[in-house]
Amino acid sequence: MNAMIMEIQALAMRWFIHSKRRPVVLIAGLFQPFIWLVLFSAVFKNSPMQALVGADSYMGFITPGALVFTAFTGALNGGVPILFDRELGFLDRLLAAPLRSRFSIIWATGFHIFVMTLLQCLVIVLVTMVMGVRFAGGPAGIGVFLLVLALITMLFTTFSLMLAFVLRYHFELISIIMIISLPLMFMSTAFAPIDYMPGWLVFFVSVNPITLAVEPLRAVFFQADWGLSTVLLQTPLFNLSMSGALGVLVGLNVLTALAAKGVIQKKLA
Amino acid sequence: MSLEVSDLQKRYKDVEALSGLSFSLAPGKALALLGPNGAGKSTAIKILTTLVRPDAGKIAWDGRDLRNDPAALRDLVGYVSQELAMDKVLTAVEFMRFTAGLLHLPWRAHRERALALIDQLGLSEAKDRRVGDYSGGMKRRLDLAAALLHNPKVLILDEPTTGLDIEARELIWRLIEQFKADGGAVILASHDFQEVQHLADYVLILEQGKVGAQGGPEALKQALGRWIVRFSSHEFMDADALAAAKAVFAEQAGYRVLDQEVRCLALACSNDADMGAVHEHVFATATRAGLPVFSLNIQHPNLEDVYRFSLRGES
Repeated sequence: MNAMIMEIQALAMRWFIHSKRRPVVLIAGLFQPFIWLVLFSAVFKNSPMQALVGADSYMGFITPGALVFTAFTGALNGGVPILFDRELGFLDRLLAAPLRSRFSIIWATGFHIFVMTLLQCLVIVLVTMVMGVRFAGGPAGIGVFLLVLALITMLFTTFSLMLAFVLRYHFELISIIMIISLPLMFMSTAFAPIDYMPGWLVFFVSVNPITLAVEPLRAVFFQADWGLSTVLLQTPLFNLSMSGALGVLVGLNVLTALAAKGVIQKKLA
Repeated sequence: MSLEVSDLQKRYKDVEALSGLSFSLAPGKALALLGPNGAGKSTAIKILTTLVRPDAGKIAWDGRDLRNDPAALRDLVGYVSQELAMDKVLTAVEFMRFTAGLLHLPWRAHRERALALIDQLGLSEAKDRRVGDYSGGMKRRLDLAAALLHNPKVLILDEPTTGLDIEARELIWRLIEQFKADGGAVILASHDFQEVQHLADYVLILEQGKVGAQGGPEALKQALGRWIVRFSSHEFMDADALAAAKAVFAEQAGYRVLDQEVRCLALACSNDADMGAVHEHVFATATRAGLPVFSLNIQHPNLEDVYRFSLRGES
């Protein structure tokens, strides 16, 4: 077997054993999206926003947001265990091992978070289906669904691990996560349509990676005739298409990976 | 084949952590790094395990310069760190499997070796228990088993038996001796002189990043003298009493005042006299000079003496 695959497999296996032995982390990760779903649905049930959403219900509207939120928070927290490893000296064990690439640590963590996210998202989708939300996108839509979750997971896992390689203590990373997570979620179309946002916020919302992940999911959830050229978002500056959103997400992943490679070379080589 | 380390240097801001560390280590031999805390042992080990980049210097194996090939150096080395840095959630077998993956060893082909090492280190009965439930000694033994899994050429041990009971310590010593007998080279950082005496073929004493005394344990001891004499005129010798004793013994042929230790004066005796004759001479000299004799201890130098007096510039 390829050496790099072996090391990624070993590193990921460790996290899967952790998840199996500590299922509370997986289960707790489900609570927050459900709280968003239940609370936001209740709060905005009679608001004018109801008229602006493209779904049958506000619950349906925010389901893609809750799914992206699940992937996003799981990925953003991905660096925390690495900082615990650093604090306990375990990271030295990884760094003294003859890994073919230190990037294997990122691949393995990302893969583990992606699989855990899929399990969590499956539960969310099943529950929202029971509550009347339907997936209209067909098999290709499922492909986009998986691709978007993978892209958002890898993007924020890489970002989080990059921070973990630079910082020394887990509480520093947790502070940064707290600072950036809520603004990123609320400056996106996860919980409210862009028409609902004030003008000054529209630009930030339309370039926010969370929006770029939520909008393709929303399209495949509620449009049976979606396509790569489907316009997902109309802003005064540009129209965001399905291919555009996915392309930018891929681009952001490449840029973050290059930045992480630089950090690894500087900090961990 | 040997590990050649030459002129390693590392500076952290204003602190010279390591300055000019050089040694050569052949297969089947063990080098011990001795020195007080902050002497540069950990920096040396971190450089040799590629965790820290040296500012200058060369590390070569079998003539091949590994300065720009840290991956090749990592392949050569098995490392047991000072911290008990284990994953507490995994069992011992899972931990060995994890380690095998990091070392690119197919588990099917190496499972038997992993289990044999676990068995050799007395962990068979606990192999399916979580490492978090292990005692400190069990964790250290498992750490050593993991370091040996890929049959490294060089085993680097940073205080491998700290905090262990005698049985666990001897078990680890036996495995290290076996590793040496099988042709492995060992680099050992330790504060345990008995351990160094037992395992090391070569001792290198570091102080403030610089190399002090170095050589084989026996040669270092012989260089210090044939006998080490510790003399005290009172139960608690004050500065005046120490100065008086120093003045008396400084003039004795064949005797060298090493230094004043807490509450006693240390002398190195390099003549061929036996212990009785040395005792008689020191006692008579003190009495002649009017010094009372509270205690008189005579012994051949040990590594602790070498270490102690090396740090005071005596060796």
